[in-house]
Amino acid sequence: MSTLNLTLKIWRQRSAKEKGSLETHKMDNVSTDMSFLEMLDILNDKLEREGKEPVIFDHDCREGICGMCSLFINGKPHGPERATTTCQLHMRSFKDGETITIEPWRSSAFPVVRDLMVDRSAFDRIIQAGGYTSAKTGSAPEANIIPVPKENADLAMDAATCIGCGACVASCKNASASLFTSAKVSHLALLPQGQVERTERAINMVNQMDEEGFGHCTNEGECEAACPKEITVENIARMNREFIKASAVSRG
Amino acid sequence: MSQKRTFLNTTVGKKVLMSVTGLMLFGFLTSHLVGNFLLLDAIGGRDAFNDYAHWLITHPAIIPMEIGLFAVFVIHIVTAVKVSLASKAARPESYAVRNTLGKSTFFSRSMLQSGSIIFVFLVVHLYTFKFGTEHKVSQIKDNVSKTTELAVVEGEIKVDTTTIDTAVIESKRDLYQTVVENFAKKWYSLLYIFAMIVMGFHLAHGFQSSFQTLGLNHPKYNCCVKGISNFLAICFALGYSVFPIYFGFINPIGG
Repeated sequence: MSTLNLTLKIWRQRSAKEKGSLETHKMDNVSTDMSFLEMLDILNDKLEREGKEPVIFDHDCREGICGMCSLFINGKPHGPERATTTCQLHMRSFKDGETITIEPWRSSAFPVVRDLMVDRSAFDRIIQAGGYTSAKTGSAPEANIIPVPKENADLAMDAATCIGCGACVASCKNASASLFTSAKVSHLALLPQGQVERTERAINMVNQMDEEGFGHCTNEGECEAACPKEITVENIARMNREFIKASAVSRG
Repeated sequence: MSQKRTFLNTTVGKKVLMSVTGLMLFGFLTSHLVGNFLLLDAIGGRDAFNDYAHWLITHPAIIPMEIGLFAVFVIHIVTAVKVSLASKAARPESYAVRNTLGKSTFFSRSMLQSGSIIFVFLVVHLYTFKFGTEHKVSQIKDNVSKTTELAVVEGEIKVDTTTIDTAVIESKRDLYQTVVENFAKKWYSLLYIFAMIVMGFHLAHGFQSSFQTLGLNHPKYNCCVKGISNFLAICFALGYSVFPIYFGFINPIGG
């Protein structure tokens, strides 16, 4: 087991209203087998024992599926590895003596709650605006009664792997939420179960995305590269298609 | 939920407007470039170019076309400024460290800057060409010159006054002269070429981006659209640079 000596520059901010700044911490003998969040746990342990405020950061499942962890590590969302959430990132991805800068997602729609924790409820409101389907209640229907083309099922499943972490917004130079919103619009537009609300969904979700203050998509594709679930920008084109069509035909 | 936005007040709608006006401007660039090639002696030359320019500026549809083109430029530029300001507002505090993830390109990241340079170029271009020095060429109609020739040969001073009255000397703008004089200034030609390269940068991202915005993305055609976009960008940058290179450095006839 090898170890690393690291310098951490961590964003500290007491609340959304107060100004934040980078704070430097030395970390010695960090195991390369540790996950990134375990490394922060050890830092917090040390800070608490010294009677200082621990660094606040979001995390939950720590197995890359819940979408709670975030962190902008050395200029990249979820750090240097592709298709990896921060919780699945390990210290072996870093070099001995390295300086690691850790910042929160930066977007006016994601206000900082404290330190590295941001409020991502804007995403919840986008989902509430249209990320649902109407289902018939009653007895369970026969599972195979609705045929779905294999290709559509695959594309819908690819879109549905979005965990809503917000790395797309964090990486976008315009802080646009197009990749997230388009993954949700695509997921349901591709399936027969999503057809009832198809038109209104596209309009309502795009409207809510704009209400939250996210920026415009300028088709650079950084979001696609940042996404830990490898959602593609093909979904954004689909969302635009859905939205243009819906705007033309909607009576609402 | 709050009041629904009109199409053009949404982020997607604004980008659709950008892409549609962008494609229209691309069409204008194509026709402008085709006309420019008449400047070359191998294809047209002074008379052919001036005739074309004269036909164009005296065409009855030119005023509505120019108003339309002006509107398209204004919409494209105003929307670009709005979109950029909204994006700035979407991230009030910038990152201390930020690295590209390798998907964006220099061209895509610098659309606002390249667009601004093209805008400055456009103003200078209109000032120095469209509203530049007005040279005139006078052309006497064929039948009139024949009449005068005949009179000289016969050695008689037999001038038909009605012929002179109708022999209105057709005076048209010698735009060719304006072009060669402008390009004879080497610094002007160099700046022109620089602006055309920047326009190539703008097109390299803009053309392909407009398809994605309009929802035209399919794995079967994506590489094709990207390839065509880059190819067209190079064609336009080189194509427009032919004239300052030719009249500025190879054959500076207007100096």
